[in-house]
Amino acid sequence: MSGEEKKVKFYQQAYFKNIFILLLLLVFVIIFSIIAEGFFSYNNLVNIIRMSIYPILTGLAVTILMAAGYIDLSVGSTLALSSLVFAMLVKANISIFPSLIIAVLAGTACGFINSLAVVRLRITPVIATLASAYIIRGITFIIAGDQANIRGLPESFAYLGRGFVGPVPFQLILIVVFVLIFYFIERRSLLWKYSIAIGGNPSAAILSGINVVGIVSILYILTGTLAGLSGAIMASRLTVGQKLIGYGFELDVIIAVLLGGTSFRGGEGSIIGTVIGALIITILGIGFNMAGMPSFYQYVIKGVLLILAVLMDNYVKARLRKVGAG
Amino acid sequence: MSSKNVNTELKTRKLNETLLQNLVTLGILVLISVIITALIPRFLTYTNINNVLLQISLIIIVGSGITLLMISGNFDLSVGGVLALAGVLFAFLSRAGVPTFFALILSVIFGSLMGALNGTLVVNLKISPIIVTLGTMYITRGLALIFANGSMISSGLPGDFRKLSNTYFGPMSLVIMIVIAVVIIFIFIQSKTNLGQYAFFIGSNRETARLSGINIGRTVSILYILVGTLAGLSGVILASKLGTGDSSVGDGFEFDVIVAAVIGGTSVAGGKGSISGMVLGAMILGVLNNSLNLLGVASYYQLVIKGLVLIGAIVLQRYIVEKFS
Repeated sequence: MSGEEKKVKFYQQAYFKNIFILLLLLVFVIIFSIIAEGFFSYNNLVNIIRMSIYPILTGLAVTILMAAGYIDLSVGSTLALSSLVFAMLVKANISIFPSLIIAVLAGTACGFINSLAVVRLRITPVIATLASAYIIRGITFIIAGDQANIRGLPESFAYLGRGFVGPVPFQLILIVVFVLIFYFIERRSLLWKYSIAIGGNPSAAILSGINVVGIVSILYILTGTLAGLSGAIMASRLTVGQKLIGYGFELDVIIAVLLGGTSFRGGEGSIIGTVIGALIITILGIGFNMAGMPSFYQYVIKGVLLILAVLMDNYVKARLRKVGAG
Repeated sequence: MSSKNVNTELKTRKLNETLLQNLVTLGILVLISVIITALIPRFLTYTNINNVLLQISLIIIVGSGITLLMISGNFDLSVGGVLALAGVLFAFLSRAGVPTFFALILSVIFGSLMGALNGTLVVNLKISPIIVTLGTMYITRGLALIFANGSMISSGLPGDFRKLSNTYFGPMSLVIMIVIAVVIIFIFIQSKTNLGQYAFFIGSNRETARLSGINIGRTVSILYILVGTLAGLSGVILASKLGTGDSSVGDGFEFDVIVAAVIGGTSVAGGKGSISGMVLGAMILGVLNNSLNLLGVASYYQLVIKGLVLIGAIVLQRYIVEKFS
């Protein structure tokens, strides 16, 4: 098969999947607009943007990570750590911007530790990041001490998570900027190509001289950094530093990425798909809340959705193989 | 060399490695216990030891199944959720007037069904075990919350709800006897039955196992069902001990079980592990938790320590294996 043909087939597949989940998104929007009063409104649109920024930002990095065949179960703990660090620093009268940088760097550090455990100590990613999830959560609790919430933060603290530029929510601008950066990475960068190569065939990637250790380290650090940024934004939106946030966040992110057409086995991924997937998972949460469904029902729905996302991927692949396009 | 000889030699080597691994684990356990006893004399009292045993009994029960499952190269993150769901279901059914014994059996069977669901999704639909069991972890947790109406079922339970955890034969509680029985049964399964051998073959080399005619799908399904059943059993024991069906129990339980297995020398990649090692691993975990409690260390430090112990155990284990071979 020529390279050109391969490319065409790849885009066919990606295109097909994106259309499919876009339809899924549309179906959910229509359903919730009917059953939940106030869902189809400007205020709620702003709310959706604000809530979707966490799975989108973290999901962008996790997309490349999972395309390379790796996984990170610690992003929820990292998010909590960074949000707490951000709030505590601001509370200690350090100005917003340096506090934000340090909070994000705390996330970077978590990603770095994950990369050490996975590529240096060669521990299976699931186990390594499960362990680091508990370690990071423990550190967050230790830092927080007896305080359950950090309140009394200044007005300016809330800009990152609630601010507007004219009529446009600042978070929308952030989302667009980051998605464009990652779209560029997907289309133009060696990082993406190498990651796909590693996910597709690790041995071949090593033999063709790709620095697998370096690439995977970068991906974990990137994931930690963006989870940290998501945490800072969440602290800002809540205007409270909380140690108990981010439980189940890793599940949301993984569902978003898998729904978006990234293969769990690695070797393929889609940035735009992840954005749509993250919107679906956010809209589900908000929609069911507005429809008055207790939050614990959502556990069941999300669990089912996770498995369905993978089934869909398998189905689409089998189908495309049948018509000779996969 | 005849195939029988090769087989025996393989077995001896495996045995030697397991023995060495267990000796190291036992050494660490003794070392920790000695240090703790020196620091806190009341560590080595009957009551406290009993306490430790009760705390780790659930880990050992579920760990027996998980060890076999991990030897086959599979994985289950849903045991904490299944444990909570079985406990809540036990309380739910008992409150609804189902005789306690039947409620208990039904709840355990429900655990088996969740295991069967995991097995089906992994084997028949070919979804990765991590994704499947991450999914069912949330599904079971959500169902537990739904049945318990968001928190727990504590009132309206029959008088014999706690009987399972209250029954003693002489100085020995029924729970401890169940633990011992489960461990013996699973050591038997691991060393004497086809199921145990197949799990080992599948985990060592899946392709060879398939080519030599082992029914991989059926073996893996059975292992998932066993794990689900044991998680269900643990759930009803815990509910009976607490006297409530609490939907929040078992948070992080999957982590404890995996840590115990890995400390005991079970490989995350499959093909290696022992139930006796897992029991020792669970004891280390129990002693560590108990002594940190006795020393008054806050529970969140224990999260950090447990995570570090897991990583340390994996690194140490690899070091030993590399030295040995």
